[in-house]
Formats: sequence, C-alpha cells, structure tokens
Amino acid sequence: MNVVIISAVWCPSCLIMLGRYHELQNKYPNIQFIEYDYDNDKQAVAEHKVWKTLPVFIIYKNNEEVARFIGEKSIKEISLKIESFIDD
Amino acid sequence: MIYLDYSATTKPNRAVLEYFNLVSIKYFANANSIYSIGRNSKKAIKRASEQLLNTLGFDNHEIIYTSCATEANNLAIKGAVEALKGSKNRIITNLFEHSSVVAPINILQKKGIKVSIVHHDENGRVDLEHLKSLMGADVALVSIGSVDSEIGIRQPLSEIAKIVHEGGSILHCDATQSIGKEVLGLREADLVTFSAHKFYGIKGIGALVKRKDVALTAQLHGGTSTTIYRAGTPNTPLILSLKKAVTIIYKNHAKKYAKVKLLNMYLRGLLDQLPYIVINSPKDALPHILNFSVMGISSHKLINLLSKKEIFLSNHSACSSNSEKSLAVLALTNDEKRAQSSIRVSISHLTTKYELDVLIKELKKIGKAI
Repeated sequence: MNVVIISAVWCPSCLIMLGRYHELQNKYPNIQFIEYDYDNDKQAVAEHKVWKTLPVFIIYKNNEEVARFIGEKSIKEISLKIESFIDD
Repeated sequence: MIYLDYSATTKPNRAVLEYFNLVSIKYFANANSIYSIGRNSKKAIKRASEQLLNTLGFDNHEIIYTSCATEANNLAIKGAVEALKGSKNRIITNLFEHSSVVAPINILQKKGIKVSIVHHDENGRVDLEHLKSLMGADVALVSIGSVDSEIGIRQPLSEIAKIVHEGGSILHCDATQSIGKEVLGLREADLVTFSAHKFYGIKGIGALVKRKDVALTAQLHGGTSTTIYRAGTPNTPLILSLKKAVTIIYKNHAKKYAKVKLLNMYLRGLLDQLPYIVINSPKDALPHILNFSVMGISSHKLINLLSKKEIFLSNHSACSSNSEKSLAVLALTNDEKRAQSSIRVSISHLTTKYELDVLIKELKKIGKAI
C-alpha cells in the first residue's frame, strides 16, 4: 500500500494537514508516503486527477486507488480508512 | 471604469510618482558610498526612516526595507525562527493569513517546525483563551495579521501581543491591509510587515519593522544595506517615496476613514435588500473591505460579468488565485457554496456613492438571471 499527498505551500488547509500527515507517517512506517507539490509537480497533479481543492490524500493498494480524502480530515478518520486496507 | 479592488493594489498617487522622479535624480548616489553625495543619500534614508517610524507610531523599532510585503513576511517568519537556532520549534498562526505568510510557515513545517492553528470565534477573531492554551516554551513565533485581506476581519492585536509576550514568544503581524487604513495596536507587535502599493505608493518596496531587541537572521545575503538584515544596494528613491506615500495617506486620515465607513454602511444597506446576497464580512470588519456571496453563481463567473461592465473587483486575494474559492470565507462560514460564490469589494476614500450604485444596478440584473 502507498499514500500520495498533494498540497501547496500557499494553502492554509495544507498547513493543518501536513502536520497530520507527518504523524501518520510515523504511525505507519511500513506504508510508503509520497508527497507532491501542487504548483511544482504538474505531471503528478494531472496523473492523480487533482482539481483545485487541496490538500488531496490518496490511498493506493496494488496500484489501484481505494480511497481519496480532499481538504481537512482528522487523523482518526484517515487512520480508520488506512487500517481497513491493511492485510492481516 | 469602476475600480473596487483597492485591497489588491492602488493607483500610485501622482505626488508620490513626482517625488520619486525628483529624488531618483537628487539622491542617485549609492547610500553606502563614503563620499559626500553617497553620505547625502544615506542621511536622506535615515531621515525618511525616522519619519516613517514616527508617523506609524513605533518608538522602539527599526525598519528593514524589502521589495514587497511577501519578501518582508518571508524574512520575518524564516528569519525569526532561524535566529533561535532550534531552541524553539513551533509557530502559532490562524486560518486567515495571506499566502505570503502561509507559504513560509508551510516551508518551515516541511523542515520540521511544528505548527499550531489558533481557533477563532464566529466573527473570525482569534480565540484568546485558546491562544493562551497553545502558548509554551517551544513557541518560536506567533503570526497573526492585523486585518485579513479577504473579509477585513480585525484582530485584537493588543490582547494577542500581551498573551504572546507573557508566553515568552514574539509576535509577527502582517499589517499589509491595515497600514494606510488604520494602525491600531501595531506598536505592540515585534515584527510588522507591509508594502507601499496598498496605500497609493509605488510597487517594488515593502518593509519589515522590527523591535530592536528581536533577533533575526538575514535571508538575502551580500553586503550591508540599510541594515545587516537584508543585503542589496539601498533603493533610496523607493524608500523616500514610501515615506511620502505614508505621509500623504495619513494626512486628513480621520476624514478619509469616516468617508469609507459611510460608504461601507451605504453598500451594506443596499446589499441587505437583495435576497440572493449573504454578507460575509462581520459588522466590525475594516470598512475598506466588504465581502459577500451572490448565491447561485460562481465568483469567477460573476467577476467576469462585472468586468465586461468595467466594474473591477476580486473574489479573494490575488495571491491565492489558484484556488476556486475563498479559503478565508470557507474558514469563517464553513460553507462551501458561500466560499465559491464570494466576492470582495474593497473601497477607498476615492470611491463614490455613484460607483456603488452602478455595482448594485448590475448585481440586480445578474440576480434576475440567476
């Protein structure tokens, strides 16, 4: 499983979510977290079909998108979703 | 043309432009050159800086000139945190800051600095009790703007400064939207930033006013300029023109402010009569900014329709135009539709009632078509 995060430096919601992402990275060391910048990584933004509401947090399992969070979400909400896709 | 976007920028005052031309010739010499004409430039900058600080009510601060408020905000935030050399690693801010404040904080967060967001009340004002609870020995900096650029929310700076100082930290205040309009409580902040083009000055100059005992690490390196905090040849004509713009805008200021307040009340009264409009700016917001949502139409579409009628206004800060909605309106109202259909009218003492009447006439036409 891996997680893609797309954020922008000018975005206040990203300011909130970036700290939560870092907590999630520490909580799930076996999951690969990949960060992209909305303004600098145009190709990644297009590939992941990100529109103008940020940040975007996408969970991939076996190279398939299984969940997408847009905007501010709690660590609990994201954790529950991640854990639902972790194999026993 | 009806220009209602004075918070984005202003047309330079002709007297400022003429003064700029005059002093560009008179003080062309490099202020860091040691011969007499260089020393004359240096003296002119010193006099201008003293007058600026005096007009703005600062008595224990020094001024660092930059190219714009964005550079000043970057210098204030990154410079103050870096100067602490890792001894403190947290920044407190709120959700109404300009992108030039949000971005450097985000960059620092990527480098390991923690960020806390202070809560706000229903009018967008900082929740002082929550701010108190967030303070701690690890807080390097608190960054709260005096007035937000999209809604005009005024922050209780004196109370904020008291809490920040009792908590052993320093307060940065982005005053870009308040200098030239009002200066309440600014002297209590440790780092204050602004730019000239918001009050009829020339684009290309901003400033960071720093309390003298606050440590700051330069972000632009080279030879000493007017201070050790920002390298580069001192831009004597722009510095002098900044002083001129400040002097002019604060002349008869009470009268100018009263006129803007009356215009704001007049526009509010007219907007209140239109059922498809919801006003987002609180009643105690800075009168120069009136943000409202025209429900049922996107702000982009509305701005384009008004633009065809030569009425120019914005949906949100021009510096965050990548976003299709006002993030500040969303933070205040928690209503996506209001955020997507919000527009900002920013007025000045140069605005007339007639211009507001024309705006209302066009909004009525648009309202019928929704």
